[in-house]
Amino acid sequence: MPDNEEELIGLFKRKDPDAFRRLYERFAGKMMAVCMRYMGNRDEAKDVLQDGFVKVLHHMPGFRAEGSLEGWIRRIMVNTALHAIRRNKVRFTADTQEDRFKLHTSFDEAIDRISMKELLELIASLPPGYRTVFNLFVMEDFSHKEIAAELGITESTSRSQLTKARNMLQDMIIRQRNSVNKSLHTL
Amino acid sequence: MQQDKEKYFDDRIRRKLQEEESYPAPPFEVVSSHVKSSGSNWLRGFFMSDLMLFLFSGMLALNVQSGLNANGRTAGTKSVQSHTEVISSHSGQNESLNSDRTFNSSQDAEPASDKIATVTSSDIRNDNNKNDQSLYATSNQAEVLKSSDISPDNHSDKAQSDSHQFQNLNSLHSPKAAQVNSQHKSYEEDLLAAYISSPSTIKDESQQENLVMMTPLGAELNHSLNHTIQTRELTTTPQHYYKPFTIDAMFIAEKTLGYNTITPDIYQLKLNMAPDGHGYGAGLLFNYRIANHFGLKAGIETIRRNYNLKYNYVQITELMWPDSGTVTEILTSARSVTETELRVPFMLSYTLRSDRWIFEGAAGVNIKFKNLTVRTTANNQIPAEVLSAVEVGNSHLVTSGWMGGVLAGYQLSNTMVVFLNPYFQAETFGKSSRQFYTGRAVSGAGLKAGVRFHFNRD
Repeated sequence: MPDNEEELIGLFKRKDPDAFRRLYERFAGKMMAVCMRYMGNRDEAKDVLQDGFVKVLHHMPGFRAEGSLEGWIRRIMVNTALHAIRRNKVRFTADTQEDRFKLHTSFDEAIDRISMKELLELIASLPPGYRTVFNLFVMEDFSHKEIAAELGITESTSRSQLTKARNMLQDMIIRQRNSVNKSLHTL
Repeated sequence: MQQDKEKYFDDRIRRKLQEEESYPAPPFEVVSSHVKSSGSNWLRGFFMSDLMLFLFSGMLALNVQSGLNANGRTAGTKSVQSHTEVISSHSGQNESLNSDRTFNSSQDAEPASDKIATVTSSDIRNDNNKNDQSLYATSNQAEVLKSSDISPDNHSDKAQSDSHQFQNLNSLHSPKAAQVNSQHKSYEEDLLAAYISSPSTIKDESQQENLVMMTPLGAELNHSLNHTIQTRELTTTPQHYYKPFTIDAMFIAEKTLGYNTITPDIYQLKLNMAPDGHGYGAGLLFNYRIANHFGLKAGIETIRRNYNLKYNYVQITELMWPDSGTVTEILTSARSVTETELRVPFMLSYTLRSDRWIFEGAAGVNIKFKNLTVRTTANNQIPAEVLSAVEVGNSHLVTSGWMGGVLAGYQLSNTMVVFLNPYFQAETFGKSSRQFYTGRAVSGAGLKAGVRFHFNRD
């Protein structure tokens, strides 16, 4: 299996029949994680992953290799996920109530002990609006202005959703950690 | 301080997720079947609906079947652009899933023969013992292979009893077949052919179920359309978003809005008229994208319209002895005008697209070739024009003007968009007719309704 992206791109240029399989095997796991983060359940994430890879295949001949292949594929997955979210008509409710994020003292310990997969599933269990804004802001490095433009919401709605997402996610992480501790004690 | 806390929180989450970002993905075979299902979107889009495709496949099946029955053997070489396969899954016999099939008549099975056989598949099998029938459709480019490439190993009894020999896709991957196939396939199809695994590579029963679930007839086709639309929405490379070349075919209805500075040059007429014209026509416009959102539009439109001109003729009579002075009479008259017009518009357009909607604004110039026929009408008080419905003038004009409008379209399939296009147009007359018509400017508003086609594959 080729280790680097250049080799993978080379396989496509040479029209190697195994190119797509290798590309898929190289990136499917990572991209499935991206899709899970956005879609919240495995079935929808799988659909987005499939659609995303179909797009990758269709547009691979036009890939100019100006950036990283992984970044390009990730961007396609994110766009495909956003499209699916828009199609699902996710509501982003604007809340006038001012929220502030409060960092809990036990957060550090909790985040250290939780696994990546557990964290991914906790993010996936956030309400769709919170989840989408959180993913775009934290993982894709979008500004609130960009998020607002992407999702058709106001910047203040984006800020409000992000704060709520942070608070809820922190609570879930700490609760998850506590429930693990409890079950260990009962054992 | 608050921002630092938020940044710290985000950073911890990000680092945690990036530690080993991965999640169990579905096997490659599932995705490859998905890729395959969208391989011939443009063709299926052309057929527009599941029903059309289903009927098409049924007709194909009947044709092939009747051809076989009539001749007892396949005759000569045939090839088809598309085949649809409807399979009811046989209880316990899933070896045929996700495979393209080929058949020829058993009477034609001459292993040493070098004759080109046809790879046409349209097979409908039913199994009454099981209710969970799975339907799926596949569509391929023409595939031709030599009959010597078809090994008789895998023929089922049922297939043989039907005088058909079935063959898995494996045979298509034989060197000879691959050589022949490669002449007919694009890069993408080459890749697809290689990506689609034969059933033998799918060991896990659940994977096979997945494949069947992935491809119910209606769902797959709907998905293909959805996929096509999604592909068009790709934002990383906006040039894929808009089709480079499209053709609009439309009907046109137009209402004439007003005339300016019309000064008839005979009879000293004072025009006081309210045009009530309307016209209908048709047109073809070609759109060519020159940048992400910008495009050029050019084409021809033809429209025929009628309108009436009402005007007053001021007649001044000088009185002689024993009276003196003048008598002013206002006589009314009317003429009907028929215009047959050929327009050649050149416009610049700006297009925005969403999921299925297209919005476009366009403006540009219009060159017009028109034929005007002017007739008097019965309601005529002018002595010189007492004859009704008499042609008093016929002119050929070349005029120019401008046209602008907005278009809203809805994507029906990956080749077709229906649209409505309200527009406004105005023209300036550069020439007046000798008899009557010396109008300067005419304006009108109309509605174009039509269909936009494109023939570019995604």
